[in-house]
Amino acid sequence: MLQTLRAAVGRACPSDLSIQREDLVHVALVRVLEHEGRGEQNQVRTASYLWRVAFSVIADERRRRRAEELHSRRSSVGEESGQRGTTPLPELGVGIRDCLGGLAEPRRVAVLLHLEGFRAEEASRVLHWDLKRVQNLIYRGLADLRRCLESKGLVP
Amino acid sequence: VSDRELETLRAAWAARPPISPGPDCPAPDAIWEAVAGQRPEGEVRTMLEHSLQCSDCSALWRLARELHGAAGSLRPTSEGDVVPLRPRSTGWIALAGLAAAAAVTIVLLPRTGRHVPTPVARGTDGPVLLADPATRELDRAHPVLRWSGAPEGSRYTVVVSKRDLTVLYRQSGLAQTELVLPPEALSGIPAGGEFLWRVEAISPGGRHTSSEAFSSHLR
Repeated sequence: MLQTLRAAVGRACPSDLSIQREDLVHVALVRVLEHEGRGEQNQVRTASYLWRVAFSVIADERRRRRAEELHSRRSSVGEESGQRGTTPLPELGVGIRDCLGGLAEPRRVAVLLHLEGFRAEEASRVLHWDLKRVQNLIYRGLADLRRCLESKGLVP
Repeated sequence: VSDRELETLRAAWAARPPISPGPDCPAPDAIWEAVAGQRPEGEVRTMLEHSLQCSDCSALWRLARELHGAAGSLRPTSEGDVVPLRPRSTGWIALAGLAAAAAVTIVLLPRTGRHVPTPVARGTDGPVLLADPATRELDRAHPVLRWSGAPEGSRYTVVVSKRDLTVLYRQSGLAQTELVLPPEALSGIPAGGEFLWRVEAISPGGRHTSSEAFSSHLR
């Protein structure tokens, strides 16, 4: 069990949390034991459950850190404001978000998943939609997105 | 949209400015289940609409997808979405027929004795670290953790935490199989309260072993 947890946490752990990796394994282990203590033994000993716990622990830690970072950044925003906008990717990312907001909802969620890295078959599973429909929505949605970005002068 | 453009779009999407996670953010378990296709469509759509504005949740969708893939729970059929159809080979059918006939023959052969399955114990292929039973209850004035099970000459790291997962104390490089905790490390634990601890051992040969989480109460 511990090996699986360690592998899962190691895989999920972003570089900025790597120094805490063993602590996070410990947290994940405690969480599994707590579930087990509640009489969920049948569930907790499967490998997929351990991966889920690892994901949950990393997600919680990321959110906690993110909140702390942004809180501390607000106090020093003046130092960083001059650097904003020099990197094109975040600017394009905001443009994508704005353009996605203008798409019809089915196209929007299909393209959104595709931008998160989901293949059409995976998006089909997530949304419970027919694969052909998802493929069509992605195809047309990406074309809409491209047109919208071009109209804003943001060509990928 | 070409592959290169799609790559750029994905990179740009992932590089959106961070925002602070808020109370509207779905629980990590919900994202995990959604990626596995275990959440209703309406709920998934709501969660995705949220991630449109929330780069933090967006990152968790990517992470959940990656981990599902790593855990093998999604088992993608191929890198692409389209699997080309090919005519069936009659050679494979003949081979499959032979294999099926062989299987039937093996199943119908009389057995000479009752097969007793060998029990498989998981996680016991290395040393098992055990807590000294006396550590179930500890004296607040002199709390000592003791354990056993690692080879002679091992070095130990001990991590102590509260039930709410806050780490209270950590000590590395221990050569003895005991650790005297500084009383202030447990100052947040009330009388009769519980805390957890875990031991990691590195043997002289470099083998790494970790214990389960042990539980102790303070007298």
